[in-house]
Amino acid sequence: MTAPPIGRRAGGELDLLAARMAADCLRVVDVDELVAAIEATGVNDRVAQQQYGFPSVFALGEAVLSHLDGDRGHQLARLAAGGAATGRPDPYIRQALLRSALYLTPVLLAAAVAGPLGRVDWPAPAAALVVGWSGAQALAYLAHLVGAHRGPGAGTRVLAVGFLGLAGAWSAVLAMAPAALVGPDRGLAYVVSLAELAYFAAVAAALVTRAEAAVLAWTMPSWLVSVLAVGGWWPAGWRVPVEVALLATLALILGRAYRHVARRATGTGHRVRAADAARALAYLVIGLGQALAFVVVWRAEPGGSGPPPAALPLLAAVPMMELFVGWHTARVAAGLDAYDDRGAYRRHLRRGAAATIAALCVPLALGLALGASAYRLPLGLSAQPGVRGAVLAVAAGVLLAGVFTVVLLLATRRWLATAALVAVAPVGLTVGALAGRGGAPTDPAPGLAEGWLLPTLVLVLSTVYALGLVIAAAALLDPRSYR
Amino acid sequence: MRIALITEGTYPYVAGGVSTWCQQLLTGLDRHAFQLVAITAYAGGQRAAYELPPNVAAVRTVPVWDRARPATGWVARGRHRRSGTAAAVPLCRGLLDDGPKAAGLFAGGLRQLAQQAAGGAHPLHDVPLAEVLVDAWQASRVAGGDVRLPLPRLSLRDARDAAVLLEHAVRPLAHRLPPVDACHPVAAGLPLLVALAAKWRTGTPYLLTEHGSYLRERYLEYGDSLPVAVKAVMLRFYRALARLGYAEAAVVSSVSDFNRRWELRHGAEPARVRVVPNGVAPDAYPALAGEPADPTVVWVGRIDPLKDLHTLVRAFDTVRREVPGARLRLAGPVPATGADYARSCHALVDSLGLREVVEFAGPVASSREAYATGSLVALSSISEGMPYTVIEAMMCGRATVSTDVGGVAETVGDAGVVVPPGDPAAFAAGCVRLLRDPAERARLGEAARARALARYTLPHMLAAYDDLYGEVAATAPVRLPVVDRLPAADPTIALAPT
Repeated sequence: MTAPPIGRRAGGELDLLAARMAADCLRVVDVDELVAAIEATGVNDRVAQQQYGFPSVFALGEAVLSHLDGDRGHQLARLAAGGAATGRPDPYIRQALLRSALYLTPVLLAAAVAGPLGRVDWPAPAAALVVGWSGAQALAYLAHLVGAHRGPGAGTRVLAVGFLGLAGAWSAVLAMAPAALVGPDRGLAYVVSLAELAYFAAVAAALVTRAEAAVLAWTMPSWLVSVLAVGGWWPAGWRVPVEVALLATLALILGRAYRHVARRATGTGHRVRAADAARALAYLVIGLGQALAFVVVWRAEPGGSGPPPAALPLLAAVPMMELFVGWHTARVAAGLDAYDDRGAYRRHLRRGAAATIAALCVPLALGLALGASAYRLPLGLSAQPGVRGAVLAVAAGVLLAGVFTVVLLLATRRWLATAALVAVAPVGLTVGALAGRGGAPTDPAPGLAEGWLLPTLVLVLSTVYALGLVIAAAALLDPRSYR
Repeated sequence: MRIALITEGTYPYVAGGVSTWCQQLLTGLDRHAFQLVAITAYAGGQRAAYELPPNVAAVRTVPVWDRARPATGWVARGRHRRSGTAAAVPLCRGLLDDGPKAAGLFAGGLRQLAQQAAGGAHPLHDVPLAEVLVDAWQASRVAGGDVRLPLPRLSLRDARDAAVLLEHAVRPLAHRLPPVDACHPVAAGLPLLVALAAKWRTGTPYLLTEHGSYLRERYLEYGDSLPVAVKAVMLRFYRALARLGYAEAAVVSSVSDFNRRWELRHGAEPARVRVVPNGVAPDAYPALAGEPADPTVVWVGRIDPLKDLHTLVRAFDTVRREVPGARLRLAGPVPATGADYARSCHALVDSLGLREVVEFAGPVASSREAYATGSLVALSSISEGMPYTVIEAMMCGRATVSTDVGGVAETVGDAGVVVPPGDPAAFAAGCVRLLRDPAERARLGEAARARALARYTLPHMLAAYDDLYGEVAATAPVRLPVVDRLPAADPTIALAPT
């Protein structure tokens, strides 16, 4: 279509139309997109002929585009609109800190009720921890899957039903468990382990509904009660004991986390398929391996009345792990926006993989150094009762934190089966080693711990960590894991 | 004849507009047997909005956004991935560029995908489409492409996002139709993929009907909703698909000359494009006798951004000041995709202080009863094909004020008021003029009914499509009868002449 010469009759009108369409033109990718926009303003072929002197709106669209292309400023603006990065930087630091605060809140709560907790034998809360940790991993995956298709209400209902089932099953197990595993106060064991499960349920719901900040805000009352209790400022004469107050604050957290539970499902049904079930199983195994390894490291060093030495590096590692994996993920995502060339992006990924693996070598080196130095402490400290064990426990904590990070990285890169294998390897190998020696895997005597349980654990964790690093390097260098 | 009627996002799950037309067609052409193929976002959980007539043999839902359907078996998946990648390369190169060579590449790539998907696996699933797209993009930029509108920068994220959209978009290629004599896609978009696949696999010809211009609606829909580069990929895909669809169709039918312009613009052969206006049954829409006591503007339709109710509400703000006691009645459902827009309409009504005089009446059982509640019928859309609201109102003898979009002006002719779209002042002026002048209202109402009876009746429309089906089937290649494939009672495929 050839546009008639403009200027005599329609030049001014065309200027006005071009000015009106300039904003639309910044993002048009096809002249007919501009034509559609012009038509939507009421310009049809008749108007194009009578008002602008063009035979059709299509010809008018071509003319408007040519008119605007003569404007250098407009051209530059269009280039800028077309080349602008589409993604926004991932706020991973905030997310990592929020999640870490959520994960670490139970430590504060446990400190606040250390007295009553002492009346429950450790197997009950430890087993509840394993059930809650692994269940949360699997259920959170399924809830996320369902929630993505049917909305947050459906997602949180999956969690609610799953955790209610776990709580019921756990209560039945507890009812049948011998007193030696539960402690003198069976009722208290129920309360403690069910409270653990409830907190896992709340955190899982917070993650699935992306409400970490809101749920964390609702943990503030429990923080306040815990701080008052730990600091000794909880008034002794109050009618409400600390334990009851904490349970009430836990109910608040649960209420906030499950506020969508009654919301109607949106969209259409989503069938969980075999592949989904397999992934959920992988997450279950990952959670199981992590929780069991945590319990083994926690219980390996008999310690005194204070917190176990291994807990210190593990607690410090929680925010570091979240930040580290968040940094890795954000770096990968930033590359997607920054590059339009596959070769350059691959180089970016390789550099990121190298930096990630190099950073992960630090805890391994630290753990190995601590493990070795436990036998060569200055001033003869290695021979002092409990010192060597404490250092070995710290080494085990450092190494376990590193293994957790490797598992998290593998899961992030969707090497789920491998991640599950790495997660269960420490416990599996340790139990195997202990079985070979005929020793008991838990509740070791101080001599046993310092003699070979802790060294075995350090050795196993170092081996798993080193192998995990090699596997992680393979995953990070595999372009398919970034699809 | 056995026809596969192929819809996208409309019949039988969404009421109104195109779905009304589908129901009319299926009910009216009861000597044909129909397979209904409904392309939807997800499968399941949807209820038909219409009672399906007995000549609909089956409803086949083709979900685009459900889980991917991969090839079965490890070896087959590897082969699928390789052949899918090989087909994706010309597809992507072809869709990015213009001209006959690019069109050939696109058609070749799509055809390869259709053959590959004949087993039912989604053709681009597990194919490294983002990588293919990036390479095609670079090649197109190096080659120069469109000098005036060069391709924008495609980041790897853009490529991934576009690849996801594209992978889902081509899934209908995997749908396997039962033996039919002709396909009838009801949009030059995803329904074309089912029809093209059937044509390439079995030689089944198709009649393409467009109510609105699918491509034009994508241009309007994608304006700011996607990153520029992702938008460019998808719009070029739809452009290439529409062009291929026009080229391969036995006949293209359009509801208005307005749409026909777009079809010709994108390569449809003029001799093969027919204009068949929509029609309504005169018996179902006899002339309305009286008018409501209060001067009332009534709007009937689906609450959706394309209906531009904001302009109507703003226009009514003026009408209310000019015509004391005037009321506005908005009758129609809110589809799931229009919930945000409906909220914005309510907010606008509140902000203008019109809550007492604007009524959101919700879905209505009978559109005629809805027209009866108005002194005039309004249509404020920014895009339309050939709206039933206008034809039905004309048949009822109601005066209309509508916007000059799509085929509206040619439908209304001089039997109603037509104003530019998106212009509240012009819309208000049209309404005020008619509300103040009962004689003019009555005159236009009578003229509208006479025009509708002469041009837009259902029997006329059905006869036209019946003829088109015959014409389309006549283009099918001769096929020898295969005893175990063709039922003896239905020799139409075997005997169809070339």
